Amino acid sequence: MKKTLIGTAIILVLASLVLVVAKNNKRTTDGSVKVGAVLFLTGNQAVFGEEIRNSLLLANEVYNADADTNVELLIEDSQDDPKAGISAYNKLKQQGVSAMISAGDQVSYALSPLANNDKLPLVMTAAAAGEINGDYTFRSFITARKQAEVVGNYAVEDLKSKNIGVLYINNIFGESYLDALKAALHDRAAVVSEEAFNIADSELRTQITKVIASEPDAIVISGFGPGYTTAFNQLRQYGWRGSILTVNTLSIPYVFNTIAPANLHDTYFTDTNFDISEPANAKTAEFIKRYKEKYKTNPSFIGAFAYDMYTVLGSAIQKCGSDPEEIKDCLLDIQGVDAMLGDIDFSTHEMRVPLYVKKVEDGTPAIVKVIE
Amino acid sequence: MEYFIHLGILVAIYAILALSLNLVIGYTGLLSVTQAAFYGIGAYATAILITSYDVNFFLSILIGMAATGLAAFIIGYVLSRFDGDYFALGSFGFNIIIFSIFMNWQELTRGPLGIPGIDRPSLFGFVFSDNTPFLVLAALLAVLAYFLCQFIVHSSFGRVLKAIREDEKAIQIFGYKTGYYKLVVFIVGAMVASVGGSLFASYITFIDPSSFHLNESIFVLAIIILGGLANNKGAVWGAAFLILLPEALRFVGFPTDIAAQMRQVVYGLILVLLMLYRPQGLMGEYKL
Amino acid sequence: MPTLETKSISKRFDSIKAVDNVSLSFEAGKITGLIGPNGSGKSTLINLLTGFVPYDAGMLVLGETTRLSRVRPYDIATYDITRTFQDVRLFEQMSVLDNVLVVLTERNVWSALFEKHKTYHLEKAKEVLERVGLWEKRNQLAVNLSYGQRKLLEIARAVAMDANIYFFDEPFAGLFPEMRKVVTSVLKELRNKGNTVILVEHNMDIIRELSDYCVVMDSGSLLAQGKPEVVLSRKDVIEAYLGE
Repeated sequence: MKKTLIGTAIILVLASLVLVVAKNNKRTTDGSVKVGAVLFLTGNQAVFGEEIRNSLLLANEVYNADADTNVELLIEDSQDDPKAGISAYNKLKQQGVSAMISAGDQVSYALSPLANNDKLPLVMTAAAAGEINGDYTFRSFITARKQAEVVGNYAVEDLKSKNIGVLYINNIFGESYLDALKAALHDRAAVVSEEAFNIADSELRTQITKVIASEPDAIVISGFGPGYTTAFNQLRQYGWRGSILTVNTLSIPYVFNTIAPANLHDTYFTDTNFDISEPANAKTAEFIKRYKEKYKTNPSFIGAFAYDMYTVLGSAIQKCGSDPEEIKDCLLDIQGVDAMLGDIDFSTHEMRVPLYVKKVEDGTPAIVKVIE
Repeated sequence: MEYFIHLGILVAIYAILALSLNLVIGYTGLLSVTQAAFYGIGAYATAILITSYDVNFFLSILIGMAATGLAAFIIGYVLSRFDGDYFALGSFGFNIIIFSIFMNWQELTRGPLGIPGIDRPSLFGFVFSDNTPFLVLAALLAVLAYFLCQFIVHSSFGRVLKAIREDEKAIQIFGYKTGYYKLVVFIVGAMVASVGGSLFASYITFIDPSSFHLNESIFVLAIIILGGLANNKGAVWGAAFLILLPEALRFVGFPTDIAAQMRQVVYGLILVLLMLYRPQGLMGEYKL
Repeated sequence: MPTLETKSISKRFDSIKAVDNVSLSFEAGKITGLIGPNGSGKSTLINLLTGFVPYDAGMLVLGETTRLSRVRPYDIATYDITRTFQDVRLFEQMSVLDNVLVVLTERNVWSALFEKHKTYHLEKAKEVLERVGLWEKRNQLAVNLSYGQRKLLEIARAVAMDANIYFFDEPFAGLFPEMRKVVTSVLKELRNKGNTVILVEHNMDIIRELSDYCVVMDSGSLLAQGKPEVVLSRKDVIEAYLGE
């Protein structure tokens, strides 16, 4: 009996903590508009969650400096887990946000039906796989599918490849990339081998040997994380001298720098215009400068997408007000926003930005083809 | 309020899982970590039946239980050849096998892409799309699970389970074919877990293999250890505690740039302290 | 007509013959003392005869008709055999009452789930627990009992089985005199009711006092058997004990 009383007391304390403070947070502080962000600040990819948060905070600062209405950015950790992500979403919704940002594939797909139901515009970033649906869901990122299409076409049209070998990461990103690649190749070329690797793998001899043995004209690597770097380095190490086609993971500064320069010959990758060493425009240069000043490290395209996404959201709020419905409509029509990655178009719910195929020459990437 | 209801639903789901695991580990002493796999089979069964075959949610729960029961029968039969530590290792192996099936049998489960768009339950035209009715449904199922487990545990069958936990060889001498008892409780535990899985799938509306990895089994194990092994009230309490605790920590005012990490540190710290000062869990009398 | 016979039972552990070609018989209505120095194979023999450990060769004969070349643990209850353990194997985290109830209830999985005969079992449990003086402690966990009480509980559990053949493995070890009296009276009562009681003991006085018949083992084999006064004064028996 005593134990039951103590137990119930503890639960009541926890529950009241949650309830009372949640109610307190609900009161709007000064009539400012609120935007919620559910990011993976802990977990495997935490370092990118951090980058997204940093970029959002930076964009928020810049926005509030100029705008008439203040926008408050509220950030919660999803732990890269759909359940916790939904808890975070609910907490932010309770605090009266007008729009929601989410990061990560699994979490975003769990939140999307909720946002559609709640008629709350949800912009997802760092979510590269799968389809998005519903009126209220938008994506600000480059999809695996899109990159695969570009790579597939390039391999066939420009490199005249007939046989392609593929090393792909064993998760939702790698799977959707592989599917899209095959669809893009159609019957113009064949995938002669496909081997999967895991995000943290440190030894890929088996997979690589198989891929090389299938005698492809070119090998595609798609993925991220330490496994990606391993795949890249070891592919060269175990004897592949031919062309490598890959995703924009390569453009991330510390990934690029952990790959031996000698391994980067004959390497092509899909990318946005975001380039640390040669910023494509003034806005990019500005972002990189401020980010480095504030956070003492270089951002990557992941931060760039987050920053641009916030800029667009801010624009929509500026133009159309704080009502979620209006914001959603505004996003669909948005034009002429001064963004880093190019002219933003959200009419298809997917952020359309110019893409490039870049080739690494003398240790630096150079644009060899422009898409759209 | 929505937030609160969401947490309530999670507590109900995890209470069901904890109750099921308690039967197997707490009362019978079978150190099994296959629970996440059974939870997953229930979830996938409901997900696939609802999205591809338009089956009613409640029917999908039953079909899920049947599928899980069958899997548990096969797995339990194989595992019954093992003892103690080897049993744990074997159950670990099965958890991995089933997880791999979720990941790789893509025609059925869509592998890592997961299954999105699972509808909420509907019954005679009423759809449980709002969270409040869903909470009522989840709570009802949790209460049913609780009474089922209490019934089992307070029966003569339950007494034999405890004896098996204490000294299996000894209870055999007194005429009990313990293999059957262990198999039955293993299957029942799996089927109850499957109900939790079905609820989970329909609530989150999107499932993928990553929710059914070993981590989930360990989380449920933590719930029943904290609540007190071999105590059904403890299982429910433990679920409430471990779900509410990280949420309560969201409100502690850590500086924003380290808030998320600090919460995880504090969470871990609280668990360690609890184990140091109250290893039998809040309501338990039994130390593992 | 012996109720239980062993015919050439053997058991070997690696290279050691723990029980070597032992042929014995035990009779109803008698307490048979099983004695021998440490390592003589007494406990192993009991384990073999109660299905705890399988025997390599030989046969177990029950009554006139049943000949068993293999005995599994859960079989012995059907043959009305039960036992206590030298190292006291109770169900520690269960109550005293539950320790007894658990041997009274349905053996079949499904019947056990839906069993309703609670009052009958409670009465029987009360009977045996009162006999050994543990009824007041019925709700205490077995692990919290004193050593002597634990031994008494094991005996109560065995008595509750209502078997025909009882093996008691050193039931007197470590008991106070009052408790010894209880055990003695239980054993005598069982014998007087016509059961077959086999008692393993180290204490020679107890053996002299209680057993109607005696069997001596040494190094896995049968050394001597007969009336206690005769067997205990044999030279080879005394030497076996002195040599240990």
